[in-house]
Amino acid sequence: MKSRINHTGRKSIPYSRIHLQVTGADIGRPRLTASINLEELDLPPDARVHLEAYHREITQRFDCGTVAACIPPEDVELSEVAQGGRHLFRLKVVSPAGAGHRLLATAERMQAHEGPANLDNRESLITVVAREHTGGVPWALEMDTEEQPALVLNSAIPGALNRIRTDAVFRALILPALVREVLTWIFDRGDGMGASADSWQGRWIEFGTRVTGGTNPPVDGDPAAIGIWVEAVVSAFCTDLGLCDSLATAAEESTHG
Amino acid sequence: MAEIRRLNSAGTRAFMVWLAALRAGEETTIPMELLTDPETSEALEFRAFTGPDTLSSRYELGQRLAGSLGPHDRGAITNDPGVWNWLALFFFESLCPVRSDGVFMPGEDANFILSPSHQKRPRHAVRTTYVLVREYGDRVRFLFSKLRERGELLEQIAATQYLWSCRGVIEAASVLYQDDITEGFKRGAASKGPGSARRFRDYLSQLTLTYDLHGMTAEEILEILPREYERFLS
Repeated sequence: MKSRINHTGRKSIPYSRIHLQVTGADIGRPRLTASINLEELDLPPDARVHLEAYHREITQRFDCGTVAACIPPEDVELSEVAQGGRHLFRLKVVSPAGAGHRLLATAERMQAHEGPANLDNRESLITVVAREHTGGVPWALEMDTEEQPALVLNSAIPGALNRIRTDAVFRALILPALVREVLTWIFDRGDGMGASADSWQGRWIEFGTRVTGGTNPPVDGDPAAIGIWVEAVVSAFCTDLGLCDSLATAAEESTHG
Repeated sequence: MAEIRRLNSAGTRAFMVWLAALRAGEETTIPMELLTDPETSEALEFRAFTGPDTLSSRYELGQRLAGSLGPHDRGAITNDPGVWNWLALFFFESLCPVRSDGVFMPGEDANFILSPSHQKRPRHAVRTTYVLVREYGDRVRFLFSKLRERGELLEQIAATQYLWSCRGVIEAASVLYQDDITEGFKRGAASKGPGSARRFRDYLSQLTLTYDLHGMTAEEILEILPREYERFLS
Protein backbone atom coordinates (compact mmCIF):
# COMPACT_ATOMS: atom_id res chain seq x y z
CA MET A 1 0.00 0.00 0.00
CA LYS A 2 1.31 3.42 -0.87
CA SER A 3 1.77 5.95 1.88
CA ARG A 4 1.48 9.65 1.17
CA ILE A 5 3.91 12.23 2.48
CA ASN A 6 2.37 15.53 3.41
CA HIS A 7 4.65 18.30 2.14
CA THR A 8 2.04 21.00 2.45
CA GLY A 9 2.50 21.84 6.11
CA ARG A 10 -1.24 21.46 6.50
CA LYS A 11 -2.37 19.96 9.80
CA SER A 12 -4.88 17.15 10.19
CA ILE A 13 -7.68 17.94 12.58
CA PRO A 14 -8.49 14.87 14.73
CA TYR A 15 -11.96 13.50 14.07
CA SER A 16 -12.60 13.44 17.79
CA ARG A 17 -12.71 17.27 17.64
CA ILE A 18 -15.75 17.31 15.37
CA HIS A 19 -19.27 16.04 15.92
CA LEU A 20 -21.75 16.09 13.07
CA GLN A 21 -25.37 15.25 13.53
CA VAL A 22 -27.99 15.13 10.80
CA THR A 23 -31.69 14.88 11.48
CA GLY A 24 -34.64 14.79 9.12
CA ALA A 25 -32.95 12.82 6.33
CA ASP A 26 -35.77 10.28 6.52
CA ILE A 27 -38.29 12.93 5.47
CA GLY A 28 -36.06 14.40 2.77
CA ARG A 29 -35.17 17.51 4.78
CA PRO A 30 -31.75 16.82 6.29
CA ARG A 31 -30.62 19.37 8.87
CA LEU A 32 -27.12 19.64 10.23
CA THR A 33 -25.91 20.48 13.70
CA ALA A 34 -22.16 20.47 14.26
CA SER A 35 -19.82 20.99 17.15
CA ILE A 36 -16.17 21.82 16.53
CA ASN A 37 -13.34 22.07 19.04
CA LEU A 38 -10.16 23.66 17.67
CA GLU A 39 -8.58 24.56 20.99
CA GLU A 40 -4.89 23.82 21.59
CA LEU A 41 -4.19 22.86 17.97
CA ASP A 42 -1.77 25.76 17.58
CA LEU A 43 -3.84 27.45 14.89
CA PRO A 44 -3.98 31.25 14.46
CA PRO A 45 -6.96 32.56 16.39
CA ASP A 46 -8.07 34.70 13.46
CA ALA A 47 -7.86 31.87 10.91
CA ARG A 48 -11.20 31.23 9.22
CA VAL A 49 -13.16 28.01 9.64
CA HIS A 50 -15.34 26.49 6.92
CA LEU A 51 -17.38 23.30 7.02
CA GLU A 52 -18.29 21.79 3.64
CA ALA A 53 -20.95 19.18 2.93
CA TYR A 54 -20.31 17.59 -0.42
CA HIS A 55 -21.54 14.94 -2.76
CA ARG A 56 -19.87 14.45 -6.10
CA GLU A 57 -19.62 17.90 -7.70
CA ILE A 58 -22.05 19.64 -5.34
CA THR A 59 -20.66 21.41 -2.27
CA GLN A 60 -22.60 23.30 0.38
CA ARG A 61 -20.36 25.45 2.48
CA PHE A 62 -20.87 26.89 5.95
CA ASP A 63 -18.84 29.80 7.26
CA CYS A 64 -18.09 28.97 10.88
CA GLY A 65 -16.25 32.16 11.87
CA THR A 66 -12.71 31.95 13.19
CA VAL A 67 -10.66 29.57 15.31
CA ALA A 68 -11.07 31.85 18.33
CA ALA A 69 -14.76 32.46 17.69
CA CYS A 70 -15.96 29.31 15.99
CA ILE A 71 -19.71 29.17 15.41
CA PRO A 72 -20.62 25.83 13.82
CA PRO A 73 -23.91 25.29 11.98
CA GLU A 74 -26.82 24.62 14.28
CA ASP A 75 -29.94 23.04 12.82
CA VAL A 76 -29.34 24.35 9.32
CA GLU A 77 -30.83 22.71 6.26
CA LEU A 78 -28.58 20.76 3.91
CA SER A 79 -30.50 22.19 1.01
CA GLU A 80 -27.90 21.93 -1.75
CA VAL A 81 -26.41 18.47 -1.43
CA ALA A 82 -28.26 15.31 -2.38
CA GLN A 83 -31.54 14.49 -0.71
CA GLY A 84 -30.50 10.86 -0.84
CA GLY A 85 -28.13 11.62 2.04
CA ARG A 86 -24.94 10.28 0.56
CA HIS A 87 -22.89 13.30 1.45
CA LEU A 88 -19.66 13.63 3.35
CA PHE A 89 -18.11 16.56 5.14
CA ARG A 90 -14.75 18.28 5.27
CA LEU A 91 -13.56 20.95 7.68
CA LYS A 92 -11.09 23.59 6.56
CA VAL A 93 -9.11 26.08 8.58
CA VAL A 94 -7.93 28.81 6.21
CA SER A 95 -5.39 31.58 6.71
CA PRO A 96 -6.83 34.83 8.07
CA ALA A 97 -8.63 37.18 5.70
CA GLY A 98 -6.18 38.92 3.37
CA ALA A 99 -3.50 36.29 3.88
CA GLY A 100 -3.95 34.32 0.68
CA HIS A 101 -6.55 31.58 1.26
CA ARG A 102 -3.93 29.12 2.47
CA LEU A 103 -5.15 25.84 3.97
CA LEU A 104 -3.77 25.53 7.49
CA ALA A 105 -5.62 22.44 8.69
CA THR A 106 -8.27 20.05 7.40
CA ALA A 107 -10.37 17.06 8.37
CA GLU A 108 -11.58 15.09 5.36
CA ARG A 109 -14.26 12.55 4.49
CA MET A 110 -16.33 12.83 7.64
CA GLN A 111 -19.74 11.29 7.86
CA ALA A 112 -22.54 12.66 9.96
CA HIS A 113 -24.75 10.48 12.06
CA GLU A 114 -28.50 10.29 12.05
CA GLY A 115 -30.21 11.54 15.15
CA PRO A 116 -28.65 12.40 18.46
CA ALA A 117 -27.91 8.88 19.67
CA ASN A 118 -24.54 8.39 18.01
CA LEU A 119 -21.96 11.13 17.95
CA ASP A 120 -19.07 8.81 17.25
CA ASN A 121 -17.31 10.52 14.38
CA ARG A 122 -14.67 8.01 13.49
CA GLU A 123 -13.72 8.12 9.85
CA SER A 124 -16.35 6.02 8.14
CA LEU A 125 -15.85 3.19 5.68
CA ILE A 126 -19.31 3.27 4.21
CA THR A 127 -22.17 5.69 3.79
CA VAL A 128 -25.62 4.43 4.64
CA VAL A 129 -28.69 5.97 3.05
CA ALA A 130 -32.35 5.08 2.65
CA ARG A 131 -33.86 5.76 -0.72
CA GLU A 132 -36.99 5.24 -2.76
CA HIS A 133 -36.85 3.84 -6.29
CA THR A 134 -34.55 0.93 -5.57
CA GLY A 135 -36.54 -1.15 -8.02
CA GLY A 136 -37.90 -3.48 -5.35
CA VAL A 137 -34.40 -4.43 -4.19
CA PRO A 138 -34.14 -4.43 -0.34
CA TRP A 139 -30.56 -3.19 -0.35
CA ALA A 140 -27.82 -2.44 -2.82
CA LEU A 141 -24.29 -1.13 -2.89
CA GLU A 142 -23.28 1.93 -4.87
CA MET A 143 -19.64 1.75 -5.81
CA ASP A 144 -17.54 4.60 -7.11
CA THR A 145 -13.82 4.87 -7.62
CA GLU A 146 -13.63 8.25 -5.88
CA GLU A 147 -16.23 8.10 -3.15
CA GLN A 148 -16.48 5.52 -0.45
CA PRO A 149 -19.15 2.84 -0.99
CA ALA A 150 -22.76 3.57 -0.11
CA LEU A 151 -25.19 1.04 1.29
CA VAL A 152 -28.57 1.99 -0.14
CA LEU A 153 -31.49 0.65 1.85
CA ASN A 154 -34.99 0.58 0.45
CA SER A 155 -36.90 3.25 2.34
CA ALA A 156 -40.03 1.11 2.09
CA ILE A 157 -38.50 -0.95 4.93
CA PRO A 158 -39.65 0.74 8.15
CA GLY A 159 -36.76 2.18 10.15
CA ALA A 160 -34.20 0.82 7.69
CA LEU A 161 -31.44 3.22 8.78
CA ASN A 162 -31.88 2.28 12.41
CA ARG A 163 -32.18 -1.44 11.68
CA ILE A 164 -28.75 -1.62 10.09
CA ARG A 165 -27.31 -0.54 13.44
CA THR A 166 -29.54 -2.47 15.78
CA ASP A 167 -31.51 -5.27 14.09
CA ALA A 168 -29.58 -8.54 14.43
CA VAL A 169 -31.34 -10.20 11.51
CA PHE A 170 -30.91 -7.20 9.24
CA ARG A 171 -27.23 -6.90 10.08
CA ALA A 172 -26.44 -10.59 9.80
CA LEU A 173 -28.03 -10.88 6.38
CA ILE A 174 -26.53 -7.71 4.90
CA LEU A 175 -23.13 -6.97 6.42
CA PRO A 176 -21.14 -10.09 5.45
CA ALA A 177 -22.24 -9.79 1.82
CA LEU A 178 -21.48 -6.08 1.91
CA VAL A 179 -17.89 -6.59 3.12
CA ARG A 180 -17.32 -9.35 0.56
CA GLU A 181 -18.75 -7.28 -2.28
CA VAL A 182 -16.75 -4.14 -1.49
CA LEU A 183 -13.42 -5.93 -1.16
CA THR A 184 -14.05 -8.01 -4.27
CA TRP A 185 -14.92 -4.84 -6.20
CA ILE A 186 -11.66 -3.21 -5.12
CA PHE A 187 -9.50 -6.11 -6.24
CA ASP A 188 -11.49 -6.89 -9.39
CA ARG A 189 -10.73 -3.38 -10.60
CA GLY A 190 -7.07 -3.70 -9.75
CA ASP A 191 -7.38 -0.94 -7.14
CA GLY A 192 -6.16 -3.10 -4.27
CA MET A 193 -2.40 -3.24 -4.72
CA GLY A 194 -1.72 0.41 -5.44
CA ALA A 195 -4.31 2.00 -3.19
CA SER A 196 -2.96 4.95 -1.22
CA ALA A 197 -3.45 4.80 2.52
CA ASP A 198 -5.85 7.74 2.57
CA SER A 199 -8.07 6.58 -0.30
CA TRP A 200 -11.28 4.80 0.61
CA GLN A 201 -9.87 1.68 -1.02
CA GLY A 202 -6.78 1.94 1.17
CA ARG A 203 -8.87 2.35 4.30
CA TRP A 204 -10.90 -0.76 3.43
CA ILE A 205 -7.74 -2.78 2.93
CA GLU A 206 -6.37 -1.46 6.21
CA PHE A 207 -9.66 -2.50 7.82
CA GLY A 208 -9.31 -6.00 6.34
CA THR A 209 -5.74 -6.26 7.56
CA ARG A 210 -6.70 -5.09 11.02
CA VAL A 211 -9.73 -7.32 11.43
CA THR A 212 -7.72 -10.40 10.44
CA GLY A 213 -5.11 -9.61 13.06
CA GLY A 214 -2.56 -8.09 10.71
CA THR A 215 -2.83 -10.29 7.63
CA ASN A 216 -2.13 -8.22 4.56
CA PRO A 217 -3.76 -9.08 1.22
CA PRO A 218 -1.57 -11.14 -1.13
CA VAL A 219 0.82 -8.91 -3.05
CA ASP A 220 1.01 -11.02 -6.21
CA GLY A 221 -2.54 -10.22 -7.31
CA ASP A 222 -3.43 -13.91 -7.60
CA PRO A 223 -7.26 -13.95 -7.72
CA ALA A 224 -7.56 -17.22 -5.81
CA ALA A 225 -5.31 -15.97 -3.01
CA ILE A 226 -7.17 -12.68 -2.87
CA GLY A 227 -10.47 -14.56 -2.67
CA ILE A 228 -9.14 -16.51 0.31
CA TRP A 229 -8.04 -13.28 2.01
CA VAL A 230 -11.42 -11.66 1.39
CA GLU A 231 -13.21 -14.63 2.92
CA ALA A 232 -10.87 -14.47 5.92
CA VAL A 233 -11.81 -10.81 6.37
CA VAL A 234 -15.53 -11.60 6.14
CA SER A 235 -15.17 -14.42 8.64
CA ALA A 236 -13.17 -12.34 11.12
CA PHE A 237 -15.58 -9.44 10.74
CA CYS A 238 -18.60 -11.65 11.43
CA THR A 239 -16.88 -13.18 14.45
CA ASP A 240 -15.90 -9.78 15.82
CA LEU A 241 -19.47 -8.53 15.61
CA GLY A 242 -20.97 -11.84 16.73
CA LEU A 243 -23.32 -11.74 13.76
CA CYS A 244 -24.07 -15.46 13.70
CA ASP A 245 -24.70 -15.64 17.44
CA SER A 246 -26.95 -12.60 17.31
CA LEU A 247 -28.88 -14.07 14.41
CA ALA A 248 -29.24 -17.39 16.20
CA THR A 249 -30.52 -15.64 19.31
CA ALA A 250 -32.97 -13.58 17.29
CA ALA A 251 -34.18 -16.70 15.48
CA GLU A 252 -34.68 -18.54 18.77
CA GLU A 253 -36.62 -15.63 20.22
CA SER A 254 -38.74 -15.55 17.12
CA THR A 255 -39.39 -19.28 17.33
CA HIS A 256 -40.24 -19.32 21.02
CA GLY A 257 -42.16 -16.06 20.99
CA MET B 1 -42.31 18.06 -26.24
CA ALA B 2 -42.74 15.31 -23.66
CA GLU B 3 -43.15 14.96 -19.93
CA ILE B 4 -39.83 13.96 -18.36
CA ARG B 5 -39.74 10.52 -16.74
CA ARG B 6 -36.98 8.24 -15.47
CA LEU B 7 -35.73 4.99 -16.99
CA ASN B 8 -35.91 2.18 -14.46
CA SER B 9 -33.23 -0.52 -14.27
CA ALA B 10 -34.93 -2.57 -17.01
CA GLY B 11 -35.14 0.52 -19.24
CA THR B 12 -31.52 1.43 -18.65
CA ARG B 13 -30.44 -2.13 -19.41
CA ALA B 14 -32.46 -2.10 -22.63
CA PHE B 15 -30.88 1.25 -23.61
CA MET B 16 -27.40 -0.21 -23.01
CA VAL B 17 -28.21 -3.31 -25.06
CA TRP B 18 -29.43 -1.08 -27.88
CA LEU B 19 -26.25 1.03 -27.74
CA ALA B 20 -24.16 -2.13 -28.01
CA ALA B 21 -26.19 -3.27 -31.01
CA LEU B 22 -25.85 0.16 -32.57
CA ARG B 23 -22.08 0.06 -32.20
CA ALA B 24 -22.10 -3.41 -33.75
CA GLY B 25 -24.03 -2.06 -36.73
CA GLU B 26 -27.09 -4.16 -35.94
CA GLU B 27 -29.54 -1.44 -34.94
CA THR B 28 -30.54 1.98 -36.13
CA THR B 29 -34.06 2.69 -34.89
CA ILE B 30 -33.96 4.57 -31.62
CA PRO B 31 -36.00 2.65 -29.00
CA MET B 32 -38.22 5.59 -28.08
CA GLU B 33 -40.85 3.21 -26.71
CA LEU B 34 -38.63 2.75 -23.62
CA LEU B 35 -39.43 6.34 -22.67
CA THR B 36 -43.12 5.71 -22.00
CA ASP B 37 -43.48 1.96 -21.45
CA PRO B 38 -44.32 1.46 -17.73
CA GLU B 39 -42.14 -1.65 -17.78
CA THR B 40 -39.06 0.43 -18.59
CA SER B 41 -39.80 3.90 -17.23
CA GLU B 42 -41.68 5.61 -14.46
CA ALA B 43 -43.16 9.02 -13.76
CA LEU B 44 -41.34 11.64 -11.64
CA GLU B 45 -42.84 12.98 -8.46
CA PHE B 46 -43.56 16.28 -10.22
CA ARG B 47 -44.36 17.37 -13.76
CA ALA B 48 -41.57 18.74 -15.94
CA PHE B 49 -41.25 18.89 -19.70
CA THR B 50 -38.47 18.53 -22.24
CA GLY B 51 -39.41 21.44 -24.50
CA PRO B 52 -39.12 21.00 -28.28
CA ASP B 53 -37.50 17.81 -29.58
CA THR B 54 -34.83 19.71 -31.52
CA LEU B 55 -31.82 21.58 -30.10
CA SER B 56 -29.31 24.10 -31.43
CA SER B 57 -26.56 23.53 -28.82
CA ARG B 58 -25.90 21.71 -25.58
CA TYR B 59 -25.99 25.09 -23.88
CA GLU B 60 -29.60 25.48 -24.97
CA LEU B 61 -30.32 22.01 -23.57
CA GLY B 62 -28.76 23.01 -20.25
CA GLN B 63 -30.78 26.22 -20.10
CA ARG B 64 -33.97 24.40 -20.90
CA LEU B 65 -33.45 21.72 -18.25
CA ALA B 66 -32.30 24.26 -15.67
CA GLY B 67 -35.67 25.89 -16.18
CA SER B 68 -37.79 22.76 -16.13
CA LEU B 69 -35.97 20.54 -13.61
CA GLY B 70 -34.00 23.09 -11.60
CA PRO B 71 -36.89 24.36 -9.46
CA HIS B 72 -37.71 20.78 -8.39
CA ASP B 73 -34.14 19.66 -7.82
CA ARG B 74 -32.92 19.53 -4.26
CA GLY B 75 -30.11 17.17 -5.15
CA ALA B 76 -32.16 14.04 -5.73
CA ILE B 77 -32.73 14.73 -9.42
CA THR B 78 -29.07 15.57 -10.00
CA ASN B 79 -28.18 12.19 -8.58
CA ASP B 80 -30.94 10.12 -10.17
CA PRO B 81 -29.35 8.17 -13.05
CA GLY B 82 -32.75 7.16 -14.39
CA VAL B 83 -33.69 10.76 -15.17
CA TRP B 84 -30.45 11.45 -17.06
CA ASN B 85 -30.58 8.19 -18.97
CA TRP B 86 -34.17 8.94 -19.97
CA LEU B 87 -33.20 12.41 -21.20
CA ALA B 88 -30.18 11.06 -23.08
CA LEU B 89 -32.44 8.64 -24.89
CA PHE B 90 -35.05 11.31 -25.58
CA PHE B 91 -32.48 13.67 -27.13
CA PHE B 92 -30.32 10.91 -28.61
CA GLU B 93 -31.03 11.84 -32.21
CA SER B 94 -29.84 15.42 -31.59
CA LEU B 95 -26.87 14.63 -29.33
CA CYS B 96 -25.27 11.54 -30.84
CA PRO B 97 -22.34 12.13 -33.22
CA VAL B 98 -23.04 10.94 -36.75
CA ARG B 99 -20.82 9.78 -39.55
CA SER B 100 -20.92 11.58 -42.89
CA ASP B 101 -23.39 8.95 -44.13
CA GLY B 102 -25.71 9.66 -41.21
CA VAL B 103 -24.86 6.58 -39.14
CA PHE B 104 -24.89 7.19 -35.38
CA MET B 105 -21.50 6.93 -33.64
CA PRO B 106 -22.43 6.82 -29.94
CA GLY B 107 -18.99 6.06 -28.53
CA GLU B 108 -18.87 4.58 -25.06
CA ASP B 109 -21.94 4.00 -22.88
CA ALA B 110 -20.88 6.75 -20.45
CA ASN B 111 -21.88 9.37 -23.02
CA PHE B 112 -25.52 8.42 -22.57
CA ILE B 113 -25.71 6.13 -19.52
CA LEU B 114 -24.62 7.80 -16.28
CA SER B 115 -21.49 5.95 -15.17
CA PRO B 116 -20.76 5.04 -11.52
CA SER B 117 -17.12 5.92 -12.17
CA HIS B 118 -16.16 9.45 -11.15
CA GLN B 119 -13.81 9.57 -14.12
CA LYS B 120 -16.52 8.76 -16.63
CA ARG B 121 -19.53 10.39 -14.99
CA PRO B 122 -18.75 13.87 -16.39
CA ARG B 123 -18.98 12.44 -19.91
CA HIS B 124 -22.76 12.13 -19.72
CA ALA B 125 -24.19 14.28 -22.49
CA VAL B 126 -27.14 15.66 -20.53
CA ARG B 127 -26.35 15.64 -16.81
CA THR B 128 -23.03 17.47 -17.01
CA THR B 129 -24.60 20.10 -19.24
CA TYR B 130 -27.49 20.60 -16.83
CA VAL B 131 -25.35 20.78 -13.69
CA LEU B 132 -22.89 23.33 -15.04
CA VAL B 133 -25.37 25.51 -16.93
CA ARG B 134 -27.78 25.59 -13.99
CA GLU B 135 -24.97 26.71 -11.69
CA TYR B 136 -23.00 29.06 -13.90
CA GLY B 137 -25.28 30.06 -16.77
CA ASP B 138 -23.61 32.15 -19.45
CA ARG B 139 -20.14 31.70 -17.92
CA VAL B 140 -19.97 28.12 -19.23
CA ARG B 141 -21.47 28.74 -22.67
CA PHE B 142 -18.01 28.12 -24.17
CA LEU B 143 -18.05 24.54 -22.91
CA PHE B 144 -21.34 23.67 -24.58
CA SER B 145 -21.36 25.49 -27.90
CA LYS B 146 -21.53 22.25 -29.92
CA LEU B 147 -24.43 19.87 -30.02
CA ARG B 148 -23.12 16.47 -31.04
CA GLU B 149 -19.65 16.76 -29.49
CA ARG B 150 -18.76 16.81 -25.83
CA GLY B 151 -15.63 18.68 -26.65
CA GLU B 152 -12.07 18.43 -25.45
CA LEU B 153 -12.35 21.51 -23.27
CA LEU B 154 -15.25 20.17 -21.25
CA GLU B 155 -13.38 16.91 -20.85
CA GLN B 156 -10.51 18.84 -19.27
CA ILE B 157 -12.44 21.28 -17.11
CA ALA B 158 -14.98 18.75 -15.84
CA ALA B 159 -12.56 15.92 -15.10
CA THR B 160 -11.94 17.06 -11.53
CA GLN B 161 -15.34 17.25 -9.89
CA TYR B 162 -14.31 19.33 -6.91
CA LEU B 163 -13.43 22.17 -9.25
CA TRP B 164 -17.02 22.26 -10.55
CA SER B 165 -18.20 23.63 -7.25
CA CYS B 166 -15.56 26.38 -7.11
CA ARG B 167 -17.23 29.40 -8.68
CA GLY B 168 -13.97 31.30 -8.90
CA VAL B 169 -12.35 28.46 -10.84
CA ILE B 170 -15.16 28.22 -13.39
CA GLU B 171 -15.29 31.98 -13.80
CA ALA B 172 -11.51 32.16 -14.21
CA ALA B 173 -11.74 29.45 -16.89
CA SER B 174 -14.42 31.51 -18.61
CA VAL B 175 -12.20 34.61 -18.55
CA LEU B 176 -9.28 32.65 -19.94
CA TYR B 177 -10.91 30.50 -22.56
CA GLN B 178 -14.32 31.84 -23.62
CA ASP B 179 -14.37 33.44 -27.04
CA ASP B 180 -17.09 36.05 -26.80
CA ILE B 181 -17.32 36.41 -30.56
CA THR B 182 -17.78 32.76 -31.51
CA GLU B 183 -19.35 31.81 -28.14
CA GLY B 184 -17.00 28.82 -28.25
CA PHE B 185 -13.49 28.65 -26.85
CA LYS B 186 -10.27 30.38 -27.86
CA ARG B 187 -7.75 28.82 -30.20
CA GLY B 188 -5.21 26.75 -28.27
CA ALA B 189 -7.42 26.30 -25.21
CA ALA B 190 -7.99 22.63 -25.97
CA SER B 191 -4.37 21.87 -26.77
CA LYS B 192 -1.84 20.27 -24.45
CA GLY B 193 0.44 23.28 -24.58
CA PRO B 194 1.27 26.06 -22.10
CA GLY B 195 -1.78 27.77 -20.67
CA SER B 196 -4.19 25.14 -21.99
CA ALA B 197 -7.30 24.01 -20.13
CA ARG B 198 -5.65 20.69 -19.43
CA ARG B 199 -2.75 22.38 -17.66
CA PHE B 200 -5.17 24.78 -15.90
CA ARG B 201 -7.05 21.82 -14.41
CA ASP B 202 -3.88 20.00 -13.38
CA TYR B 203 -2.39 23.12 -11.82
CA LEU B 204 -5.53 23.91 -9.84
CA SER B 205 -5.88 20.29 -8.74
CA GLN B 206 -2.44 20.68 -7.18
CA LEU B 207 -3.47 23.92 -5.53
CA THR B 208 -6.42 22.24 -3.78
CA LEU B 209 -3.82 20.75 -1.43
CA THR B 210 -2.63 24.13 -0.27
CA TYR B 211 -5.34 26.68 -1.14
CA ASP B 212 -9.01 27.01 -0.29
CA LEU B 213 -10.07 27.39 -3.92
CA HIS B 214 -13.74 27.33 -2.96
CA GLY B 215 -13.31 30.64 -1.18
CA MET B 216 -11.35 32.39 -3.94
CA THR B 217 -12.70 34.74 -6.57
CA ALA B 218 -11.82 34.47 -10.27
CA GLU B 219 -9.54 37.49 -9.89
CA GLU B 220 -7.67 35.92 -6.97
CA ILE B 221 -7.19 32.70 -8.93
CA LEU B 222 -6.00 34.50 -12.04
CA GLU B 223 -3.46 36.38 -9.90
CA ILE B 224 -1.73 33.21 -8.72
CA LEU B 225 -1.56 31.54 -12.14
CA PRO B 226 1.88 31.27 -13.75
CA ARG B 227 2.73 33.47 -16.71
CA GLU B 228 1.94 30.77 -19.27
CA TYR B 229 -1.75 31.69 -19.00
CA GLU B 230 -1.22 35.34 -19.93
CA ARG B 231 -1.67 34.64 -23.63
CA PHE B 232 -5.32 33.76 -22.99
CA LEU B 233 -6.02 36.96 -21.09
CA SER B 234 -5.84 39.18 -24.14
